[in-house]
Amino acid sequence: MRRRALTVFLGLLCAVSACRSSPDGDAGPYLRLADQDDIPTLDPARGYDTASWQFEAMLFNTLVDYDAQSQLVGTLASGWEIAPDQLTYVFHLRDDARFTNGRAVVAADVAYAIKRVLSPATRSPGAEFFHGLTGAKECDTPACAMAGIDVVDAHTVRFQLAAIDPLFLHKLAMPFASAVPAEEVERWGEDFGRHPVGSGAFILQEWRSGQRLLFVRNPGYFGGAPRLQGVLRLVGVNDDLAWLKYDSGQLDVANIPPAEFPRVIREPRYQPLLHHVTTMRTQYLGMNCALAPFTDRRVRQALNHAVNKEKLLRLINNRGVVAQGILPPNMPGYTPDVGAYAFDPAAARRLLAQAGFAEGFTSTLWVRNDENTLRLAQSIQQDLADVGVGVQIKAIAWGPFLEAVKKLDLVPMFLLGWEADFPDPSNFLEVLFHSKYVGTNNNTNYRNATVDAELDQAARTADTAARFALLRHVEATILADAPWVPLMHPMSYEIVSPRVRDFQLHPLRPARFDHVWLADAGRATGDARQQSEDTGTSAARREVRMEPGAPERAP
Amino acid sequence: MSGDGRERRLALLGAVMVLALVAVALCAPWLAPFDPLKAVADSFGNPFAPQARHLLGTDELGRDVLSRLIYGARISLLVGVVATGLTVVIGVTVGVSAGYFGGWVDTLLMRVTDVVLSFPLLLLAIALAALFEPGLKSIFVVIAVVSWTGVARTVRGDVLSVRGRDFVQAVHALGAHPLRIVLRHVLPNVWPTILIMAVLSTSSTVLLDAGLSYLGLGVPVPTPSWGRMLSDSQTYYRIAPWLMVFPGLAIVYTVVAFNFLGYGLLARSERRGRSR
Repeated sequence: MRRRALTVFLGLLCAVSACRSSPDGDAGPYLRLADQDDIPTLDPARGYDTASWQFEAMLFNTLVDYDAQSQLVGTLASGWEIAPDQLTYVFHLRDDARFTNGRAVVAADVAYAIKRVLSPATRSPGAEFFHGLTGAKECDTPACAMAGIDVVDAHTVRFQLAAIDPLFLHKLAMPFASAVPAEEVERWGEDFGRHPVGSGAFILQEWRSGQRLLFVRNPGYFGGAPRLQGVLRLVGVNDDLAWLKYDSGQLDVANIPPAEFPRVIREPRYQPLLHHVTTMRTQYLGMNCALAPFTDRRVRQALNHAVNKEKLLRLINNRGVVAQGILPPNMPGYTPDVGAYAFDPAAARRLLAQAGFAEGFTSTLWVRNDENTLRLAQSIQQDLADVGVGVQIKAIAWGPFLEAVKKLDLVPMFLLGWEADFPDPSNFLEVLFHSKYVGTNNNTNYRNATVDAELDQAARTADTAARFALLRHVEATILADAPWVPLMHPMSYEIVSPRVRDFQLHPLRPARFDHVWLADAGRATGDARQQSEDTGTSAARREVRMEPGAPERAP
Repeated sequence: MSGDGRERRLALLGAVMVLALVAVALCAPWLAPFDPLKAVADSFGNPFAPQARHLLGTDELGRDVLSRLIYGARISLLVGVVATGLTVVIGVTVGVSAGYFGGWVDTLLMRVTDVVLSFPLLLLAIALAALFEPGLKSIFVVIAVVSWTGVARTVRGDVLSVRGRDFVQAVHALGAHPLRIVLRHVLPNVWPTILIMAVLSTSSTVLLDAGLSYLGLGVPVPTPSWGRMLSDSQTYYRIAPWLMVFPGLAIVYTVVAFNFLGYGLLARSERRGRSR
């Protein structure tokens, strides 16, 4: 509750300061974004949500990353070799990459970063991804010696896997594997997430909690200095306000609120400004399998029959498709008929009666506190009331919400979304349902030994067809156990201001700003401080993550 | 005499308006055409404009706006009455103690009152509301805690003047217990003031409740409350202005009703006071 009070106060302060300063005609040299919530963290070892990833990607680099066509290409790596046995990977680092503290990025920094993710004291939600490296489980400090990571020379690092991992390159493209300078990490300790130092295209210049973040360009960026002066990200601006700000020229990137969407889609002047992309996302209602009455499978199945997904989709102007299963349709290995639940309140009531809840029960649905999510939550609340399940909605801020759902026995039901980190079904099925992810990403506390075993087997299977067959079976089993009510696969729509150039949405990652530029910002190189004060009046809204329907890459 | 008539008419009009509102709130289940919590129209994501079946339209979740307004009256009135009741209890206790006992009690209580008064009302209410679980009870407490000061000051003033009168001095000289003096002799004389203050502060209570609900600190969804309906309507204001207009009018009506009644009574009592 303390955290909640704080949020409100900060929001209020923003509102007050916004009233005081007068809007400025000059839009300034920064790309202006906004969102309701602050960014959870900028420590690449810790962040595992879309907001954190978007801004981590501005500050840090991984060995490999996705290009616009979702192909893996070298970033810090100038090249790599994979041994024929697929167990040894050798990466050669480019020699012109530098951290923004001036030091060159070397192979040891990559090794340090991954060992830091692995060491338990870091409590990284990404540790599991690198457990396939030889000796990874014994690595207990960022300085540990392990056979799986070998710094051959300053610009060569060799990874040794204990078993074949067809997804290893994809894992190296996750921000968890970003090179970090050990000296800065050790200097700031737990606070590294507030004082990040990386090698990326931007530098964090200012972070005022609950108010704004200012990123400025890194002129020495090895990939070529960005054309943008910087990126200003405001906090405490809800969807509706952001849209008004966008429409009056005070924001450069925004979401389109559901009520405005039909109009925006029709009006010609908006057409060149619209961007959309089909991402691999699923939005779902999670039920905590460790908390009664959701310990009973029949109750969970009943809820699957009770929720009207068509209605939810209409609340976001049909920007997406109804979810039948867990995997999104554009995911490799997707199968349409995995065992969906039809909308059937009568069947729901029957199942509830069988489980001993003929009279229904009451429970609490936790959601992120924003208008769109609350609307979806109320629709679900109506549906569940029809089958006798009384639902109280508990709406809290994003950060505390993500912390809460990780707890074993706190949250009975929650609304969340997951967006694929890489194009493989295991990134949904394993990360969200394997029992080893309980406490990090398996927020439903779902445990099924068969599922665990099949997931482990799939992770070691190099043959794609065989893997997908295994994973298909896993998905069917999970759907039958029903820890989720899969709701929908939303589509990302964003709109940019007329001065924004070369903006692109990515199907696998939040939008990046390395190549974005502003048509009118050539002259504006004014005093950064002054500028950030001015633009503090405006507030923006963007976020792949809070698309109406609020899909999130979960905690 | 004509001035007296105008005040009487104002008070009467206010009383009628308030009674009408009370009647609506009490008879909500019979008056409301639909269940306020359920989707009764196929208008998901696309609110229906006012029409024969839904006189005030429907919202984006398919709920009937008129039914929600009618049930919303219950919340507003309940908060108005209970929170004002609490406000008056606190205010009268503080005001009477300060006014009757005087001295350091008076100084202490009035300085506390000044401190509370020095906070911006809404800001203080928001801060307090954020500390509690959202719900009716916390709304009652929050509103009472921030709005008792006006009552306390006014009552103190009246008590001061009553205390100096001969009959109170006489009872005092007879050795009556202070509690008895306050209850039997002081309070009955400040009663009209208290009543008027209560009516007037009901209107500000209704406004404050709407404000808190608007900010999401009121009764949790989906219970219909006017402030919440207003804030929900923001997203749709351009395509569905009726979602915003009707709750707004309802709030205005209620505030005006209590103000008419309150100021009508106030003017009458002032006239009587003068002619006495």
